[in-house]
Amino acid sequence: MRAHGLPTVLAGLFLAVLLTLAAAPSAMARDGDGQAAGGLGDFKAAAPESGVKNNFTKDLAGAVGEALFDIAVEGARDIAGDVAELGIKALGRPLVRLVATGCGAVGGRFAGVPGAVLGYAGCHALGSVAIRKFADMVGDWIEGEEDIQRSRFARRENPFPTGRPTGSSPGSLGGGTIKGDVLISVFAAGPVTTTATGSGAKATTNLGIANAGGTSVTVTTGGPVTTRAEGPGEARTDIGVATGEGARVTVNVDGSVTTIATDRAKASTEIGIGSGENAQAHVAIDGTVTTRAEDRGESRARIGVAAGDRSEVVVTSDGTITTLSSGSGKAVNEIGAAHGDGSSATVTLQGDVTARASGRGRAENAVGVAQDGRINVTVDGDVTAIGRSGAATNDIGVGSSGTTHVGGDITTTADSGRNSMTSIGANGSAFVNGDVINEKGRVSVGGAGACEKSRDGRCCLDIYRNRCVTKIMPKSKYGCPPRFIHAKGRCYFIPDYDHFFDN
Amino acid sequence: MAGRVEAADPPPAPGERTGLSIHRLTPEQRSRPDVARLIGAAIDFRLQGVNAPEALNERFAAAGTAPLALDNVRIGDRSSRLLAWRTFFRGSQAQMGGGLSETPLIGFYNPFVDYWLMTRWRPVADAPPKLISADLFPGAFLRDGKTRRAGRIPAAPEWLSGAAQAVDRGAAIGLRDALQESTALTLATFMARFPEASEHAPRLPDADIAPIMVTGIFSNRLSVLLSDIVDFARTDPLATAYDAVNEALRQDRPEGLADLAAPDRPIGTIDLLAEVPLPLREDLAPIAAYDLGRGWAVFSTPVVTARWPILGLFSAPGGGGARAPVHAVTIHDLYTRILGGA
Repeated sequence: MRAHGLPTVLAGLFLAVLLTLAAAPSAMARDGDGQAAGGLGDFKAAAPESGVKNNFTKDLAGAVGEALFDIAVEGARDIAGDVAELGIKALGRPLVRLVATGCGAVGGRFAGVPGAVLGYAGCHALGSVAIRKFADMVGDWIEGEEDIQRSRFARRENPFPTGRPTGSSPGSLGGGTIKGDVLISVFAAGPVTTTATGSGAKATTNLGIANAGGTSVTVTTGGPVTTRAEGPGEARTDIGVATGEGARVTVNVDGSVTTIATDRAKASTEIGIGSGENAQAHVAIDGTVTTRAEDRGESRARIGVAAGDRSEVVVTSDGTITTLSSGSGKAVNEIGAAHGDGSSATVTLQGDVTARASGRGRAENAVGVAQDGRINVTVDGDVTAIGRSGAATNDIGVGSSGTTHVGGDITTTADSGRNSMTSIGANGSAFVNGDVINEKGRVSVGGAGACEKSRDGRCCLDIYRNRCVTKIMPKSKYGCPPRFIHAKGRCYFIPDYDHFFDN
Repeated sequence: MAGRVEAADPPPAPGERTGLSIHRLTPEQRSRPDVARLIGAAIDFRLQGVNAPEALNERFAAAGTAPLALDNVRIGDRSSRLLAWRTFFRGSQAQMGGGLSETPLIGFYNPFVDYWLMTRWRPVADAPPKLISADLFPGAFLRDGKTRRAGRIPAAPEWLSGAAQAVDRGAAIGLRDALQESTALTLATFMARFPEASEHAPRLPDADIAPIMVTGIFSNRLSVLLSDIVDFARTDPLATAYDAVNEALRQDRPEGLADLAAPDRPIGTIDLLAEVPLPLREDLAPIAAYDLGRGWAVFSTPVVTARWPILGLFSAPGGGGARAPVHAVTIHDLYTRILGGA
């Protein structure tokens, strides 16, 4: 069908429908009898309970969204859209979600061949601070690996031919195909700064985000990455996040990563996160990672986390990882965690790890966790969890098998009589050379670990609906992974719980 | 967007590709009183479902019977369930099989959840036919052509996951293409398997699967669909832009769309839309919304039919403006490919 014929055809078909309806002449008249309202009124007024939120579909929508950049390109009036269009022209498909709206230092590369590479990153801020334009990005994406080294953030001419994509069917795009893995490589040697202020301030920095299967994401930061929310809202830094089966994430942090929320806001840092079966997350930190909620907010850092069966996590850190919260907010570090059957976590910490909750919240460190897999944990730095009015927990080396070496000092204290709990090398071998200080609580070395709760002889992280929860993950922006349920604001895995229809 | 429509000829109809044989009612058969009443019942049933599904059994089934189990949508409270059904029916299109038989089948297919509501009817002399059964049936079970289907139902509609997989393989395919292709194939399969002009009562393929799985997956898909629509509807300035588009489309000439578009990206389909009959662009309400990261794709239909959904593309909020720019407004025929581009 050609465009000029569509209205005519529609009119004709509509007429045909009307003629068809002539057999039921009252039908059209009854259209207006009902209560159906046009527009969004129904949905604004009557939001249904969410029921079972199938995150797969959400993720899929994101993936299909990538495939739909014909729409985005067609409608885009910004440089980022044009960047996507270039990728589409060259590859037949865009490779990267346009998660960035541009600011700070951004880099990328594009090889233009099967197994091609297109990458860029950026940051965006929602709040009273004016948002920088997409156009900021254009100077920051460049072609060729050599060029990256030579002129990392130089503006480049459009390396691709002009002209609109052509397709073989309405709405389709260029005929290019891509074979092999999708690779995203981001170099951010310069400073990346995202700041949002005012009520509802939401500052987000994204460096290397992918949402597709078989994706490999590599991110290197050399300069400081700073995300700051100066109002009630959220400060969030995501570096190297890939979802999908076989996702591979490699992150090198040579500079500093700082996430600060100053005013009743949550601070979150996520570095090297992979989800899906056979996911790999490798993270090396030489700089510092600081996550701080300064005023009654929760603070959380997740570094090297993979969700999915047979996933693998490797984290090495010579730097320091510090997470501070205030008010009722928790301070949580999760470093080197592989959630899934047959997974492994290898963690080597030379630097220090600190979680400190200065208000009523808990302070928690989880270092080297593969509850259904093998761990290999070496901690030569100090690991400290300090709660003030809240409890404090250090879990170091939790796996179904493996070895945990602790050479540094482990300190777990809660100032106001709340329990402290230290678990080292649960379910495996544990060797401790340093000092272990645990005030007013339980210490477990090796063995079954210090169970939070137990049921039928099993160690449970929590009890939900009378069932044992064996894994708990934070809820991501895409929701909970498959087979997890959303409960108490987090994602729970309950082995014997058929949650498919229930929630 | 119009350029895209012009870019290529339509693909062959699924019937041609698959060799499916489709026998539709002739105009003469269609005008038979019993068939005409059946068609009328199908239209009324859908409209009732859009407007007030809680009255479907009372209006269409024999007294004291309730073939349609509205609670099969396992979503939230009663009002949520009814909203879910209304959305299902608004996005569904009726198809008849065995129209000349003693127990004709009318399937209501919603491609956005890829499910049929298969209804069975008993003609009544000089009166509207009576609904005797209503069962959910996954689109995939019909498409694969097996007489007995076992196994699980995928969590997401196959056209949606298929599009993603195609993209992973490097194919150039978009959401609209995948939707149109799947819808056309599904309906063509129905037409071929349950010929409209047949005196034999259609028999649904056996499905070796627990009914709770069928209804559960249906609920999941519908729940996700609704949740996304609600997310969209609650997000300003998207919602404001959506309402403005609807208002513009209600006009005889929808030139108001020009003011909603980005200045350097005029909506090129205004002339095209102006020629679309008004009933097809009035009282639009969303039947599916997809968050694409940088924006939203929203399919809407009028009350009267789901055959020609209108697709609106909206920028994601956060651009700093009070109103979300509209990138495109287009109308799509989900069924043309079955009819051979007629």
